[in-house]
Amino acid sequence: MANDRVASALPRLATGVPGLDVVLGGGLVAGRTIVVAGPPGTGKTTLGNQMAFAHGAAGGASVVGTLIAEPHDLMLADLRGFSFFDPALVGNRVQHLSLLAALEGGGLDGVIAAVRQIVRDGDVSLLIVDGTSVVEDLAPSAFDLQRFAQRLQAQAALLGCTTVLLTGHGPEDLPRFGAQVDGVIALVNERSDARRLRQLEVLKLRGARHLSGVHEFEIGDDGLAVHPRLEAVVGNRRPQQDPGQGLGTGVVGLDGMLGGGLMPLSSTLLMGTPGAGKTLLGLSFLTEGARRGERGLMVGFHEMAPDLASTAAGVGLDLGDHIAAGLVRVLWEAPLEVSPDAWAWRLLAAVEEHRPNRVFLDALTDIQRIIASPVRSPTFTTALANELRALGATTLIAAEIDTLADDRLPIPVPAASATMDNGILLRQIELRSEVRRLVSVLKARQAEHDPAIREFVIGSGGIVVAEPFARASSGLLTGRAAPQEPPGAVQGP
Amino acid sequence: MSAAKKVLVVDDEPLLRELVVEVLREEGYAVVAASEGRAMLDLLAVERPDLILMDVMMPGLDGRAAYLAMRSRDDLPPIPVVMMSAAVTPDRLDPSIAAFLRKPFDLDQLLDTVAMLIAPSDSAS
Repeated sequence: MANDRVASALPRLATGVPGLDVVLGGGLVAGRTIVVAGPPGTGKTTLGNQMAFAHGAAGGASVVGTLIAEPHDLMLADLRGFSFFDPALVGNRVQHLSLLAALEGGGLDGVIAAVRQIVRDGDVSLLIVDGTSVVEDLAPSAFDLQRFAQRLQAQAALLGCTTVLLTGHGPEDLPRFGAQVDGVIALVNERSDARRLRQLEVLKLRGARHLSGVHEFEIGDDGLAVHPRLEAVVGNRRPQQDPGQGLGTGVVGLDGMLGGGLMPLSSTLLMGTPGAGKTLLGLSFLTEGARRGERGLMVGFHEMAPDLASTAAGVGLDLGDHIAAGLVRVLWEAPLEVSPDAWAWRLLAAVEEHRPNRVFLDALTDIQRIIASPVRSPTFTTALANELRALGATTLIAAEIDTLADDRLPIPVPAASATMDNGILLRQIELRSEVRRLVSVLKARQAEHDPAIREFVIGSGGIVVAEPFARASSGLLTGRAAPQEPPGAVQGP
Repeated sequence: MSAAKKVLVVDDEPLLRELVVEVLREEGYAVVAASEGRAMLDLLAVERPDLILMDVMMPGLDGRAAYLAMRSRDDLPPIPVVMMSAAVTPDRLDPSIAAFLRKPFDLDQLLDTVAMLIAPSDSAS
C-alpha cells in the first residue's frame, strides 16, 4: 500500500484515516496546529471525530471541543453508524466538551484558557475544535483573530497537544486565519457530471514534506478514506529489466514477431478494435504463465472469473483450472462511479499480496473513462506501469480503439504509449465482404521485431498467427484495406 | 501561609512569554516578565525573583550579556538562571547557569525544570 513511502523526521501522530497519513508525509506533526477548512457537508466533523477515536483507540487521550450549538448527543448519534465509533471510548479516551460557554464568558482568551485547562487536566494529546468558524465570525478584528490563532498554536506546542481546528469557511477565507497556523487542509465536495467528487488538498504543512495537489476521498461506513493521487506517490522507480528469456504469450507466432516473447518486467500496450481478440490474447498470456508455474493477476472491468474461464476454455485455454488453483487471481470491479486512485491502490495492494509475475489489465480504456481529468491519463498510466514493473510484474495492458476504420491509426493514450516497452496492434478489417483479424507489432524495445502484418486467427483450438497478410496492398492498420490486384491486372477505364 | 515563589520570565517572543507566565501562575508561582535583558536588569531593582527563565537571543541586551551584567552586580543575591534557546547550545553559555531548556520545550520540561530549582511556595518545598 502507499504507507511508508513518504517519510519525515519530525514526530508524527497517526490520523487513523486511511491514506491521509501518506498525503501528510507521515501523519500530523505532533504538537502542531492545523486547520481543516471546508463548507458544510464536506466531512469535517466526521474527519475530526475519526481522528479522535483513532487516537483514543491507540491509547492516547483526545478531546473534541465544540463551538457549535449542536448537542453532543445528536453528534454522537450521527457518529454511531461509523465503524470507528467505539462507545467504550466515549467520555473516557475520547471526550466531547463544549467550549461555547468559555467563548461567551471570556471571549477568545476564554477559549484559549479553557483549552489549556482541558488539555492539562486530561493529559490530552489530540484536540479537535469543531466550529472554529464561530470564533472567526465573533473575533472583534482580524488582528484579534490572528492573535487567537497564534496563541492557540504556541499553546499547543507548549502543551505538546496536536490541535485540529475545523472551520466551515472555505479556502478562499483562509488568509484570515490559515497564515497563522502550521497547516491547512482544504476539503471540497464538487459536482462532476451527475455525481459528487470529494477532494482534499493540503495547502500548507510546516515542518513536513506532504503530497501536493488534489487527492480524492470517500466517506463510507469506516469514515473517511483518502486515495492519494497515484502519480504523486509511485512511478519514479523503474528497475533494470532482466534481459533474459522472454515470456511467452501462449501464441507461438506472436512470440516470434516480438523477437522471443515479452521481456520480463516489460510493459506492453495491447491496442485493438472491439472483438479483435485483446482479452483472449491477455488470457492466453496469463494461462501460458500459469502453465509454467508463474502467478498471474487478471484486472478487469467486464467479465468476472467464471465468464473469463469460460471465454478462455472456448479457445482451449485451461485458465479456469489455474484460477481454481489460486495461481491466477481475478480482480474485478464495475467501471462505474469508481475513484481511479482508489482502484489503483486496490490493484497495487493485490499485487503486493499475490506477487504475480504477469498482470493483464483489461482495459486501460475503462480507467480513462473514470478519470475526471483527461490530461491525467498519461501520467496515471505511466505511474501505474512503472510501479507494476517495480513490483516484479510483466504487464500487458489492453486499450480499445473505438473506431473500426479511420483515415489514420488512432493510438489510445499516446503520451503513455511512449513509456511502454512494446506495442501490439490487433485489428479487424473488412475485405471482400469478410472481417479478418490482423496482428502487428508496432514497437518492441530491446528486441528485433517482425514488421509484418499477419493474420490473427482465433479458433476453438487456440490462437494462431499466420503468414503475412498479402490480400490487401494498403490500409491494413487503419482498417481501410484496399485489395491487392493480381499481377497483370488491367486497370478499368 | 508562605509567599509564592517568584519567577522572572525574560523573552522577546510575546506569545511564548505570555503563555509561560499564565501557566506558571496557574501552577501557583508569582510571575513577573520582561521582554529583553535591559528591561530585566531594570526590573531587578524592584523585584527579587527566586528564579529567572531567560531567552538567549533577544534584541537589545541579549541573554548572555544580561546574565553577566546581573552576576557583576553586588546588590543582587545569587539567583538561579535557566537559559532557553532554539539555536544556542549550552556549551556556549556560562557554565554557572542553573539549567538549560532547548526550545521548543514542552510544558512538562518547563515545569519539571522550575520545580527542580524552586517549589511554588515554601509550604510545598
